[in-house]
Amino acid sequence: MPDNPLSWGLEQQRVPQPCAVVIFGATGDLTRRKLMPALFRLAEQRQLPAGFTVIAVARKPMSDEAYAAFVRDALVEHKVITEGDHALWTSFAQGIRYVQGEFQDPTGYQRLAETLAEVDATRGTGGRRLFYLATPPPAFPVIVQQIGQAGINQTPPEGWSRLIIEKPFGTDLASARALNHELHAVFAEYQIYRIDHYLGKETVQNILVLRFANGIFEPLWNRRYIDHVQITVAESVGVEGRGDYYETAGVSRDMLQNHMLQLLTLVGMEPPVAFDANAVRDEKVKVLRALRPIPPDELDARTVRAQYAAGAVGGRPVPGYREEPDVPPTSSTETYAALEVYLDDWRWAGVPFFLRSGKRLAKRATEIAITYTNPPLRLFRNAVGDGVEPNVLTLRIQPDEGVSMKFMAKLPGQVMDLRPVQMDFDYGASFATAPPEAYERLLLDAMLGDSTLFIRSDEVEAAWAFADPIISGWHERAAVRLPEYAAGSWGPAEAEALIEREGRRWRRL
Amino acid sequence: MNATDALRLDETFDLDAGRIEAALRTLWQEAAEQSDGMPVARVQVMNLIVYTEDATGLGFIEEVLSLLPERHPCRVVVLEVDADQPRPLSATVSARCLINPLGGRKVCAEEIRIQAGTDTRATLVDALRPLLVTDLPVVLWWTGRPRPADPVFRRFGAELVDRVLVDSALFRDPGAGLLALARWKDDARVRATVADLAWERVRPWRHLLAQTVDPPEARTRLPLLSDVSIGHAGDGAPPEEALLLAGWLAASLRWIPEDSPAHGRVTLRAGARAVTLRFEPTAVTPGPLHHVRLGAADGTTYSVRAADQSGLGICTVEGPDTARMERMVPFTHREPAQVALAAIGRPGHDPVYAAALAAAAEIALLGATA
Repeated sequence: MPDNPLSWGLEQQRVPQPCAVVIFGATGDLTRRKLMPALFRLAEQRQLPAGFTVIAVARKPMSDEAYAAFVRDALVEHKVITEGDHALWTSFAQGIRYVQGEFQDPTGYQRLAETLAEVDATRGTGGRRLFYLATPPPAFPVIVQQIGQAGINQTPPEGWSRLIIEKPFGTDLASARALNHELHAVFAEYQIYRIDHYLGKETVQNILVLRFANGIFEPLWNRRYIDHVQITVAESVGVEGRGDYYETAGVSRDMLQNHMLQLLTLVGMEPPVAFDANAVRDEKVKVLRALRPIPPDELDARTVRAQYAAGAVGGRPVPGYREEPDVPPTSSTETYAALEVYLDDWRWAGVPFFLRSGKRLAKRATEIAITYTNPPLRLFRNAVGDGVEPNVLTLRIQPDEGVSMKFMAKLPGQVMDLRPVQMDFDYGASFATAPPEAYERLLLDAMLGDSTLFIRSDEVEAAWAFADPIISGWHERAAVRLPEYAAGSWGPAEAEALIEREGRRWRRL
Repeated sequence: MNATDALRLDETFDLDAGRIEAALRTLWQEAAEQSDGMPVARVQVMNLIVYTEDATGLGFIEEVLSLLPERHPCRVVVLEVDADQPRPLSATVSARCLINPLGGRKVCAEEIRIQAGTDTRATLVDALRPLLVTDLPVVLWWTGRPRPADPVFRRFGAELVDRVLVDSALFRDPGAGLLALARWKDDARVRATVADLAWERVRPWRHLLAQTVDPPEARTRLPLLSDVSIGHAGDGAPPEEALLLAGWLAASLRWIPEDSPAHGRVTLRAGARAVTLRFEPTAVTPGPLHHVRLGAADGTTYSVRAADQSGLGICTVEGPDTARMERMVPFTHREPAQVALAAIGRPGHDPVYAAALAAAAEIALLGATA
């Protein structure tokens, strides 16, 4: 492609080529809450090209205009636009089309093919199309199969077709492989974009920047200097009316197998040879493959799972998990998990990674804390205070995104009084520009053909290969009553015991 | 939105660097005492020198400085020069602190204000030297009309600062002014780079135009462009912004200014091809520019124009083989203080501006603005 000399010297504002985004499940919650707001914000930021088109596919009969009104209501409801906003909305709405169809009905795909041909001709989308499956996962195979049969995954030479799917990518290793097999029958792997929205968060991407764009951290990023790593994904909310979903997922499928292992890969990976999709993902896969399996006989020693009981969050009484709607009173689904895991590779051999995630914990917080080893010699033996505490580098993912470093300092005065102090970097206070929402970033990346922040099939399978035996081991113990923790606490006593056995303790967040 | 709070020592000093530093230390202690336990962070990313001879412009300078701690915390030295009468050098110090209404950290930036007169003006460069924070970039924001021939302006550029920010739109004669600025920049004795508020005002136009011609089929037409028209405010000569935009197009697309066959028209040479550039005065514009239209030899046109509705722009592509495509986009109208703030924070040398300025000066030299 020829260069664009007019873009020289301007901040990189990435704008994809004119294309059509085809959303299956276009009247669903994800589309209303996340996708349409993200697409409109991209338009507001001038990051969508002229001719950009959204083709909505859903079951209800509806006209283009009626669907545009549905989208407008969603944008008003989510405070993306106000009732009075006209000009920009009118321009955006010109690119909205609606196609009615059942997911398994070939005639709907024929109508979709006609609409795609129409927008290629009238809006210059040139056979560039991004299929977004915002549907329940069981519908993925049939939609992909029908796309293949209708031939709309085929494009002219200047075009492209890509597919975005949302997690969960299977419910275990076997189903993940089966899903990959079905996707690969229609789309090549390079055309498939598996979303884990965590990877779209700015601070998650900043893990790589912190590690690989600074000279001071990477030399200390290994078993010689690091005592242990804690990764916490804590939620203060319960199942929020999604008890039936959560019963099939539990924290293991909802958080552990995807978000937590993704964070682990970013902390644990080797420097990629380039910042491109395959180089980064190659390194992430190596981390997943280096995860030491937890055999059944070590499950009790290295993992804890638990369920929240009634308690209070933010001063408000909340029910226990088994009292939540759509949750059976005998449920043995875990709402909390803590694990001690190891990476058997040159960099991390012997360094424990403690992972914990749960619902109805004391507060919402996601962070990665890297605890360094103590100095080799206790030089300040006669110091006042509690002695030397280890340095901790904390990467705060949400909320209050930032980086902080704890180190020791001397209090001013005649005596040697040592105190830990915190050096803080706060993204919100340091940059005037608000970071883009994860979906904005990921949708734009997919339109631009950059799959760095998406998950490759081998990553999915490697993550399942590690998580599957743990989950099935837990399920074999289903008869054993789960430990409980009070809603609003930091988890069960068993989790404290897990980490304290190693002489360490969970961070207070 | 964060609020700023000012701390000031009610004392005027001789221009003694040691006393000024001591006064600043006192100020920091006061800031810490008044912070109710909040940590006070002293952050400096540069030295900013603000030069003014116009007391009526101080309000605007204050507005910009009040926004500084949030975006570009730095040591600020404001030079208030009385151009009509002698005055000994004197200084006051103060600090502006950014206060997060939700509590937490308080970020402060310090400010030294120096008064000078006709007799002491020439000594400012030497007097300032010990007052700058070591090893940080030094930016001079020259408010008022740029004076490339002024010895003090020249000394700043040659000896003290890394970057000089001016507003070329304040030149009396746009063409002659840009020419003078281009020559000053190319003077071997000047080590500072030059930045321009007029160029900053052109930036959103550059962004939109670059986006409009970014699709692959549009890029292939760039070598086929044969007509450019730039709509600008007023009914006379094009303002600096229009000249800089024309200079930018010429420099980026490697067009060489060749002739000005008529008022407001320039012929540029693009290899074997000629490109016609027209400046089109437009009665009602929200800013100095109204539209830019690029026409290719095959009849396709790419245009960007300010919409009637404030804060919006319209990008249009149309041609014999393509349906007319119009896109309404946000076209941020920035307040002058925001423009100044953005320009202050842009780092280092801008080769695109240097090339645009040189080409704009050549276009002006052809008499297009006469």
